[in-house]
Amino acid sequence: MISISLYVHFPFCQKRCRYCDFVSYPLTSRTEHQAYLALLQRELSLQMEKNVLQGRELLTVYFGGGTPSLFEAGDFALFLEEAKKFFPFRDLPEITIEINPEGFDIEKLTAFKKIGINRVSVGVQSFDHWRLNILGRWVSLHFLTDLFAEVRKTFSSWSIDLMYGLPGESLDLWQRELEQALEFDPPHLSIYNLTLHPSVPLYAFWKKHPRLFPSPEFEALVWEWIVRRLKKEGYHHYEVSNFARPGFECHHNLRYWNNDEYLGLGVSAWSYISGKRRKNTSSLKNYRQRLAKGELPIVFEESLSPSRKLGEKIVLSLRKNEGIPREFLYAWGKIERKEKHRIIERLIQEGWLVEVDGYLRLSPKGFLLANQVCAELIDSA
Amino acid sequence: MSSMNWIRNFAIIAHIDHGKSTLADRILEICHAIPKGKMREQFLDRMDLERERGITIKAKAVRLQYFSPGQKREFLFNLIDTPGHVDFSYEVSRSLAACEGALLLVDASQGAEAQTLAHAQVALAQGLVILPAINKIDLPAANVERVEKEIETILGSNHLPITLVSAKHGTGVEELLERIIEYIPPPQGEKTPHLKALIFDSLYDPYRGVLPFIRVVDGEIRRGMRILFFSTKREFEVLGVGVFTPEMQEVECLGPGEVGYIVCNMKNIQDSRVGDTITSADHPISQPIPGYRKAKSMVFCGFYPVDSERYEDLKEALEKLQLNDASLHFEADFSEALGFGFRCGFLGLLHMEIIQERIEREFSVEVVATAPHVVYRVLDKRGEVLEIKSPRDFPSPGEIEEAEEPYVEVKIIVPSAYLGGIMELCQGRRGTFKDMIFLEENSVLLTYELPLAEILLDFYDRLKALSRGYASLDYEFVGYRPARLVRVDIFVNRERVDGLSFISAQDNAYYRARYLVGKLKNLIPRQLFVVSIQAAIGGKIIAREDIPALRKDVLQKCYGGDITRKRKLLEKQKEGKKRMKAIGKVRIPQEAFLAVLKSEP
Repeated sequence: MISISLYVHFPFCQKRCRYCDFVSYPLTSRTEHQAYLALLQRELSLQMEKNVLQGRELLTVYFGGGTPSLFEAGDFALFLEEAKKFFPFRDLPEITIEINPEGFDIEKLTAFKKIGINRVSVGVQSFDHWRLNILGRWVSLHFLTDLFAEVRKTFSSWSIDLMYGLPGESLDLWQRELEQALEFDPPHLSIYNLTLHPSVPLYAFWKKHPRLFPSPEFEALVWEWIVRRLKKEGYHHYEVSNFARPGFECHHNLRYWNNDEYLGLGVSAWSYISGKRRKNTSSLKNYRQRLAKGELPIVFEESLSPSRKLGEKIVLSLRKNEGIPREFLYAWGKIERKEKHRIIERLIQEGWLVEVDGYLRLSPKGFLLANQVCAELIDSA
Repeated sequence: MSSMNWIRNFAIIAHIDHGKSTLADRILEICHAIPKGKMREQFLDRMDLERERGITIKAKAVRLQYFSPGQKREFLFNLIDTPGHVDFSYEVSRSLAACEGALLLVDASQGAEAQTLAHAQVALAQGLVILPAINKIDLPAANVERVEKEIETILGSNHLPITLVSAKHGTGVEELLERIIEYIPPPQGEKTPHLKALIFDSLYDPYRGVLPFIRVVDGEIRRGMRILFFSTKREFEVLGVGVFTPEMQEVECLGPGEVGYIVCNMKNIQDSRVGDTITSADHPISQPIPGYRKAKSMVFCGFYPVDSERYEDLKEALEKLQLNDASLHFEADFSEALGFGFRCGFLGLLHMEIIQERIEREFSVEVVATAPHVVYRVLDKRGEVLEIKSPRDFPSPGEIEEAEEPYVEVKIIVPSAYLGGIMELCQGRRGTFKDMIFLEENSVLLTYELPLAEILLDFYDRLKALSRGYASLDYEFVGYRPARLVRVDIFVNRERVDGLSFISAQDNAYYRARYLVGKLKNLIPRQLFVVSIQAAIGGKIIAREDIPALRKDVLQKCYGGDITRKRKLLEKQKEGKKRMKAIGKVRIPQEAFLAVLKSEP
């Protein structure tokens, strides 16, 4: 049976974080939340009408945002009821919700669990007050301690998000961040680099004070320490920015990297179905209007050309620890096998790639320069 | 000859932005030369580039019929538009040679600039009547009194009355036209079989070939005549004669004092040289009109296609541009680092910039331009004189007996408050002080002699920076002078990069090399390995910097399944790479080649 995943976007936040360029609207009333839910259900049935998706096995569901944790458990229950009508499943799917700890009602956790959500991802970003301030966030360690105690009690699969590359970072500070996270003993950690889009407030700050931000050399140092430390703790570095104890990988995210199909629902959600990448409108108003007219709210669609597909395959595969089969690179693309062989051998010799059982993967030093190495491989493809 | 009495030939001398084209527009309107609906701003500037940059690149001539209310009769005006930039002074002098008078137009808020002064002096030397006018009198910053004083210093105390004009609003323009009739003399000339005409410009027409723009001095030119070009000694048959109204319009003939164009089935623009004299092949004159000189390239640089497969396209672009531009020279060239390209000669820096921009804009060929430089003369140990047009051909120190470089006389007009800074700049650029005149209390005319090479090296930018944009500059070639010169080579990962080599005065070589190497360190993107940058004279390394290897990329999260974001990042990276030149494994961006142009931060 062909499988599928669902990504559901909730574009509402209590307030905007200073680094985030995702579509989000200020916290609205309960009625508006319910109205948005009705729109999501409407979009789902419309998508089912226009795409041949019926009968696929649903493997994962991801409630992302925005701040989905502003919604009530009952809202998610309604949505899941609807989804089950279209997609059968043998085993219980992985159902994740993103939680923003700021202002979160801990009581909601058991309710989430009850309606079938079985994984939570907590966007901590940092335990340091000053750093949180820079990001435009606020949460106390005291609250987080309570939160994680409850999370651990309720869920076996959960994750902490942390961010590095923030102003005023020192190795000492980062060690404290990670040690703090490890005290809560999460089965999964996402640790990623601050990236700033020109439209966000923090971008202007960075433009004005670039020296406050760590250099790539320093980031490399921090990163190497993180990888060593987590390995020692028994975490598996299974993707560029993701670490998990064995068996606790995020299956939903793995589907992105495996180029598996997923249907995105909601404002500004992305889908990948039948070789096409699609994006929904970024405006809540337009989303509402399009659905009212019985139209899909898609604003961008791209059928991947063979060369783009290949490029994506390389980029996505190399993000994962398992890498990409060498034979796959030989089989596709325009360049001759001999020339490809030469490039791959050079990248191995220079220490960017390693080969394990016919799979090429990034070395630790290659992980740090994933973009560069991918670019060279794409050039050769 | 009565009809010549009703002709007036004149040019407008003005600095860039002082409103020459706007004044021309007003004159065109008054003479009803252009139907209302077709009027657009700066009508005479034909190319988009000219209109955008607000400057006139090629001189043009327009024949206008003006009904004078004062004289109660019609006059024939030939308005000869002159280019307004320092690179085109020779073309300006030839345009002036086709006139009896000139309007000297000065901006009421900016005052006289070096170029205006230089052109006014050329006009005076050629015996033209100069009619001064102050433009933009409507501006709040206008200072008419000050500008009047400056004009008096330039033209002497017995100058003609100054007309106050606002070309934008049309104020004073009719008064100016009446004064043209009153003060500028009609052309003098004889109706003889011995034709004598001056070429002051030309245009390439894809159907009719090269069309020389001429001013008839004596005699007549008409269809069917055989004519002789003095400098090339080539003969052509006249197939047509016409005038610009400003659209082209055929006429029977052009008589003494008249201005227009001829069609003569000429294929090569090199046969129609600006300043050359045309005479009748059957009744030739013995002496040409004085002042002709072959346009000489003063500045050279290499153009290479960014995409080496577009060499042929670049060649075609240069050939097409040359059809209309006799002062553009190029020859095929090969550089180990940059591949196949062309070594090009220009009148000056602006000329070079315009050509590069036109190649990229009109022909969509992206080019890497190497640092511009002058032509050096070297007497080598074997006693041979070499003309060095590329740093690559510059001999090593041991082979040089004597080297010479071109010098220019520079005229700078600057508010006295900035005088010290400007003098320091000239001094620092190996300049020799010549003269200093106060045009009025607050504005000084400085004259220096400087090596031309120093002017190419961001002199103009420094001048503007040091004077908050007030200083203006004009220069003229004065000859070759001995100099102690060396070639500095740049090596990237031990491979020499031709396009980065430069010739420098020995005393400045260390300083410039250190500066350039430091600059390159920031301009060349980090690679997966350490990159060394070295500067050397002969075999001796005089500066070195290392670019550390890249350590880390931004490791993004893939949010919400948006894969395109990641891919776009990589595609952007790839696009950026395309614009760079690969030297070995290192990619060098175009800015690096331009860094050779800058002398200091």
